[in-house]
Formats: sequence, C-alpha cells, structure tokens
Amino acid sequence: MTKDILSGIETEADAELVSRLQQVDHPALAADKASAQVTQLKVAARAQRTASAQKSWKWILAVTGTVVMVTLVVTGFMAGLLRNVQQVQAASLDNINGIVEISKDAGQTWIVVEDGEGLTSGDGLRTYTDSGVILTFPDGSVVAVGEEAEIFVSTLEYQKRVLTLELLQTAGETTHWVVPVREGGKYLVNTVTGTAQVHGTVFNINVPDAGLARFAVTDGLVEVSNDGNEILLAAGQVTLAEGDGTLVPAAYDFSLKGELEAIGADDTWTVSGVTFKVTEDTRLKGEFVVGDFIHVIGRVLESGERVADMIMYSQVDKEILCFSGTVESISETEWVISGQSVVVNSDTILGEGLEVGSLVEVRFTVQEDGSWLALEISQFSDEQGPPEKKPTKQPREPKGPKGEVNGTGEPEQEMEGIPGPVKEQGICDPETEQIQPEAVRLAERYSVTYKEIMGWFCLNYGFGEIDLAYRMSLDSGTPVTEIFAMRESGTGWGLIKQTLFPKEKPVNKPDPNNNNLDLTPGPDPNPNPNKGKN
Amino acid sequence: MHTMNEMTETQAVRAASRGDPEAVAHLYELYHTGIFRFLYYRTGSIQSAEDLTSEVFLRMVRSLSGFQPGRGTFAAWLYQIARRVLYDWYRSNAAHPLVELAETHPDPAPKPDETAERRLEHAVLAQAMLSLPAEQQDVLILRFINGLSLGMTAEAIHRSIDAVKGLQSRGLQKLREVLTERGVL
Repeated sequence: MTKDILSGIETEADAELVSRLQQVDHPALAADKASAQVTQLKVAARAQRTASAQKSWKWILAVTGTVVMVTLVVTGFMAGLLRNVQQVQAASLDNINGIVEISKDAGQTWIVVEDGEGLTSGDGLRTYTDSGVILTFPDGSVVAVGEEAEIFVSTLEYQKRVLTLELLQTAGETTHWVVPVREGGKYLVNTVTGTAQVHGTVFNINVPDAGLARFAVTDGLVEVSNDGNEILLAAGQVTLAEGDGTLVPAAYDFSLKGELEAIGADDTWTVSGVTFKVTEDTRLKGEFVVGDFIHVIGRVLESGERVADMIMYSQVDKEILCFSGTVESISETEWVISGQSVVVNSDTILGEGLEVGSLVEVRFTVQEDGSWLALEISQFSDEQGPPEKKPTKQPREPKGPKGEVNGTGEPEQEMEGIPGPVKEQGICDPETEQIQPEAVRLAERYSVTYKEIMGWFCLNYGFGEIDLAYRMSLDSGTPVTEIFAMRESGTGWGLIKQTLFPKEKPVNKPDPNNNNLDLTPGPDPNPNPNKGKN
Repeated sequence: MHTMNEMTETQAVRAASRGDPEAVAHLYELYHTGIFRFLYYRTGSIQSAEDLTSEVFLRMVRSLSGFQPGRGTFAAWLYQIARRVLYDWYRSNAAHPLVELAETHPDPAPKPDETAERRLEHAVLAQAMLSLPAEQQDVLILRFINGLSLGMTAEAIHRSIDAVKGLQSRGLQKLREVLTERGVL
C-alpha cells in the first residue's frame, strides 16, 4: 500500500481492513458498455460543438442587428421604437458560479446555463454543490440561489410594471430582496411545507429536506402560511414550517460559525463558548465531532433557550457569532438585547439611531470570563442590498432610452445629465443611496461625474461593465453612449470589442495603481449617457 | 499537435470543453472505471452504476464550459457531478428501494470450514457499504477503492481534510463491525 493511502489511518486494524479493501476484485464496466458510452459521448460532444457554432452565428446576426440599432440611435428613431418593446417576462441569470442548470420540462431534463440567460414561467433551476446564481426579476427584485438548491417558476408575469411571481422551492437556500410589490402584483414562494408571501422585503428560505422549510426575515414583514396556519414575521425573526403542518412560533434568529467545543450528554452543544440545544428535529448535515468547524443556525426561544435548526460544516474557518433581538436596555458598558446581556466597549461598532426597542443584529465574541462582547450592533434596516451583478456574457433584453430599464414604455424619472435611476432598487434612490467607492474610483479615472457612473450602474450595469465600456470608448474614440447602445441591443461585450477593434487592438485594463493613464480623449471626452439616445 | 496519449489532462479538459470528441473520449478513458466503481458501491447495482456512469459523463460534456480549473481539480469536479447524479437517482428511486443485491447475492455468511481470511467479494462489500452513512461511504470508496488522496477526497465532498479523516476513521470502524457481524472478517 502507498503511504498516501495510509494517511489518516490510526490503528493496525484499520490498516488491515484497508489492505483487504484493496485486494477486492472490484468490478469494472463491461468493455462493450464502455465502448457504447464512448460513442454516445462523442456524439454529445459534437452536438455541443454544433450548438456553440450556432450560437456564434447568432452573434454574427446580432452584429448586423447592432449596426441597425446604432443607426437608429444616431437618427433618433430608437426612442420611438423601444417604447413599444414587449414586456420582459424573464428573470436574468447572473453571477453564475459553478454548475447551474435549468429545466424546460418540469425537471425531466436539465441543461447547463450561462450568465445572461433567462428563466421564464414554467422553468426549473437547480444548482450543484459549491454553485450559485443571482436571479434578477423584471421589477428589480433579486434572488440569490445558494448551492444544491432547486426552484421552479410557477408564474412569472410582468405587465404594466406589476410583477406576479410564484416560485416553488424544493431544496436549498434562497435569499430574496423584493422591491415593493405593486397593487395587483404578487410575490409568493412556496415550499413543500409552507408558503411565504411578501410585499417588499428581504428574507431567506432554507429547505434542508422535504419535511422542513425555514423562513428568516432581514427587513420588512413576511407572511408565512402552512395548512391554514399563518404567522407574520418581522425583521430578525424566523419560523419553521414542518411537514406535519406545524408552524412554530416566531422566534429570533441566531447563527454561529465556530469550533465545536463540546457535545454534552444532554444534547447541549457548545460552539465558540456559546451553548445551544440539539433536538431530534435539528437537521444535521454531517457527522460532527468535537474540533470540527461548523455553522449552526437556530432560534432563540421565548425562554431564552437557543435551539439549533440546522448544523452543517462551515465553508470558512473564521469565527462569526450573531444573534438578533430587540434592544431592551442601553448603558455605557452593557446592553440587554432580548434578555441577553452584551458588553460594549470603544471598539464596538454601533449603527446609527439605535435605541431601546430597535430590532438589531449583534455580532459578538465570547470573552474568557464567559461574557459576550459585542463587536457590532446594527439595525436590520442597515442591511446591505443584493449582490452586485457581474458583467453578463449573453445578450440581454433591450432597455429603453432615458433610463427606462424595464421596457415599459414609461421612462423613469431622469436626473440631470444621467439616465433615470431604478428607484425601487434602494441603492439607486437619491434619497437613500450610499456612496459607492467603486463609482468614485471610476469617475476619477475617466474624468466624469460620480452621477454619470451611477447612472449606468442604476441601469443594471456592473462596475466592471462600466469600466470596460469607458476604456473601450477611450481606446476606440467611440462615444460611450454608442457602446452601451450596442450592449442594449443584445450584443455581447466580446463582440462589441471585436466590432470596435477589428484589427484586434488590445483593450488594456487600466492599472488601478497607475495614475498616469493615457486618457487621450476620443470624439466625446466627457460622454453623457443620454447623448445620442434621442 | 498532441496525440491523445500525449495529451495532458489539462489539455484534454480544454479541448473537451470546446467539443472535441476525442478529448472527451480521453477523459472518459481516464476516469470511467473510478466513476463506475464509485457508483456501484453507492448503489449496490451493476446495472444502475452502468446507467449512472453514462449520465455522469454526459453531464460532464454539458458542463465542461463551467469548469474552472483554478477552483479545483478536474477529478474532484467530476466526482461532484457523480454525487449529484446519485442524489437525483436516490430521489427518483426513493419509492423503489433496491433489491438487486439481496436477490442476486444471497447472504454470504461463511460455512464453518471457511477461514476468516477468505477473499472479500465485491458484492459482499457493496452490501456492507450500503449500511454506512452516505458520507462515510463516499470517503471509503474514494480513498480506498479509487485511491484518491485525503486532499482530493476533501475537495470532492466539500469537507476539510480533518473532517475526511474523521469520516474515514468512523467509516472503517463501522465497516469492520458490519463485516464482522456478517462473518466476513
């Protein structure tokens, strides 16, 4: 036996068994079967290549379309045409990580998808281990789908800026950032054991198996129902919908990522100094032993007892301990949050406007004397928005001019000199937006205003895309508005690059540490996103 | 130009992701035995393992464009697909538990004159394996039947090396108990 095979073998008995396992005459695939499978695979590979080639032809057609579209932009016909663009009835798939598949036949067959492809009514979507994807719905609502998840789109309609969405989540974890649902609209997520209905909020659903769904709310209110029972969850609260129709009372959420220090005889476990109960209903995704680095999510019951809902191996080895609750008292050195005392000191990061009664999330560590030291206390309304989309590789649905992002024919309100922001998306609301450091950096780099960069960002372009567009504008002399217009018409960034640089002139990504960029201006040295759109 | 025999795995993966049939066949040759054995010991059925092996490699062809070499090894990625195929298979077969082993391989309890050191048959081993928790099965098969390192096994099942060591230790203990109970050890 090789030394490597014996790695981790601690006893002679184990080594002997390993030796016996290696002596087994293990079966092999019959030669005729293997041969048939190779033939089948070769056919599949050729089919895959043909499909890719067809995709390339579509791109060539897209170039032709692009030329036509750019001409229309220049002659001012674009606006009139796009007012009649059909309503977008698909969720776009972005930031695909790992393997993500969609099904068009209720889960019978699955096809791997790429960034920029769409999900429509009736489709299924699933992710593999260590995979994930961001779904963006036509109204701007965003869903982050975690690994080993499976969802089906029962209904997806977007008419007159009203979204009607019904999802069925059968496995895994999803987190939803829902823009306020307009009158007549609906945002509903079904699981096998319970349903969440929302009107504009941030929440998370975890379906570890067919017998349980866990609903946790970060912002706003979520109505969870199950077999006629209903419960209203506020920020920081969680409930479980169980297979027998039970809907457990709302409780505050806790999450622990840390080392498993003890497993007590009374089913009390300890992680990084924090104890909690493991019950027969706790979902254990692994066989844990003391010393493992694990992730526990659970509820703080009214009695103050912590009960674990799910335990899994932690993906990161960094200790992160959190719980949520209501601030009950505040002093200089100690706060009481839903019955739990936490020490605060000068290093504790405190959110703005915290007062008794605030719903907060506390990140803490356990000190040597057993007390909990708050590292950060924040209000739930301070939560971050959905993850930023990366540049997509596939054509997207056309957007309208003047900041019309949803293809509704109704232009959004414009800000001076920039496309109208998507107000529902929060970060693009002038009233509430926070300064985006990346936008500041890009504005400085290209000598344009911060508002101009954010104007593109709020049209759903990622900062990477904006960076690329401005760089290509500088290098090619093409106004940035025309470059974005090409993208709007469905042309991928790669094809735009080929169109602008037919002799394969390289587009140099600027060195962020080099302040001596060659910013020789093109025809439009300070491009205005609205320019050329009318 | 490389022939298939000269082609490294990295080159084969790159070519296969472009739809090169020979490169796909090369990857199949490299890995189909390991994948088949993994699926056999996890399902206990030769027939199912044959079918699922085909499915794993078809999914490989469809998914290769999404494989990111910087994020891990190709072998671990392929075993991740195999685990997902298994997961789907278990779900679709939940209402139809396997009977093949019991029907085709009667209880192999030894006769009195047989020695304790008699050869361990793969069907007996498969039956014993199926009585272990899934993660222990994964680790024992990948480590001691397919010969993967601790690190690659950890990557394939998304666990830390320490966790794999723990699963390995507990899995061997449990397997020894099961085989002893059945009179094989």
